[in-house]
Amino acid sequence: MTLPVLLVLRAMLDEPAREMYGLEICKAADLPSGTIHPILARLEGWGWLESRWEDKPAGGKPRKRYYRFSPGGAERARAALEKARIPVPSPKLVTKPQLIPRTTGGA
Amino acid sequence: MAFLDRVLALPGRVRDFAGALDREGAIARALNLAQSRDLNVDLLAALKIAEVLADVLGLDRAAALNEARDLAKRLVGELASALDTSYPLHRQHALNRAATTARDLAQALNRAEGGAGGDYTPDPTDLDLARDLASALVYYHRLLSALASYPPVPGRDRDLARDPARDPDIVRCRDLAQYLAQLLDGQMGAEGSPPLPGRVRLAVWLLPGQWQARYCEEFRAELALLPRSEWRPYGKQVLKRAWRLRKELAGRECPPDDARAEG
Repeated sequence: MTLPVLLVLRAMLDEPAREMYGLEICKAADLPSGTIHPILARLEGWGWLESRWEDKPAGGKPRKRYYRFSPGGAERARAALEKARIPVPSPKLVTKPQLIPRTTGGA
Repeated sequence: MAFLDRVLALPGRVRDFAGALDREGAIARALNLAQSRDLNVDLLAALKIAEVLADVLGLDRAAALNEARDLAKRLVGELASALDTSYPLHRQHALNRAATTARDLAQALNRAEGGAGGDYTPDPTDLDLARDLASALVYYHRLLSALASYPPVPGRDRDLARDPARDPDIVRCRDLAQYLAQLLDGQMGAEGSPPLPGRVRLAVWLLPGQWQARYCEEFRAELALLPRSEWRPYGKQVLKRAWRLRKELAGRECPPDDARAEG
């Protein structure tokens, strides 16, 4: 697996449930714009990603293509990054952190 | 020949022939059916580039490039004529004319680049593409002239003229021409969409047919998000990776929804 592919996976694992379009992924992965489509096509071909068109963009603009991990895709991506010894980002918290109740009185 | 080297792998074969035209082995290889088929495929690739090139040049209105545009369009016609298999000797004459036109085209583009283009600044990549094409055709001309000077071999012309992949390619060329015509007339694409730069159009066109609509729309949407100053580097990167994307998509079925993308 090439380094740009790993960079894309790492960028998407930052928020694994989020849909991102090509330019967004490029920026997140720190890759030049216009370089990412073969990588996304490969990951889609492997079944790690799935994509869909944006719903009715405003102002008659062309529709963006959104990519996200397919079921099981994020796990495979994490495994690939670990195998390549690239630090796997911890997913951003989506639920409210729970407070740990303090014990009263102390030691 | 940088572009064709990278994208079409065309000049490798052409140079193999052209560099060894004085050797018996090169001619024997050219007479081999498989090699002849390669030549035909390369010729079709040159024709496709010429069509896109003619359109790219046709988009500008600068007087200095008018001549180059006309020459490019003439080149398309001459290459199409070279594909006519009705007359065995016809192809060579047509290629001869095409090579001359290609040389004239390269000269016209050189003049345009020299500042005669008024308020139009020629895109260096488009000019490189034109020169690559012109160089490739000059090689073809030399090759076919060398072949013509050899004793006739029965069936050779038929072999050169026969290529099973020809008809689908011509259909694709026709579809491309129709698509470009629609694009130019402003009848295609969503309202408010930016026109696709030449390099991005060429990249789309290099993709498998069923995937073209999807990537056309995807690239268009991304261009709409970029400032105009970034279009050129974007187009350069997309074109540079078009062959790799084509390889990734090869053999995969395009979802029906994507194949009907608005392009």
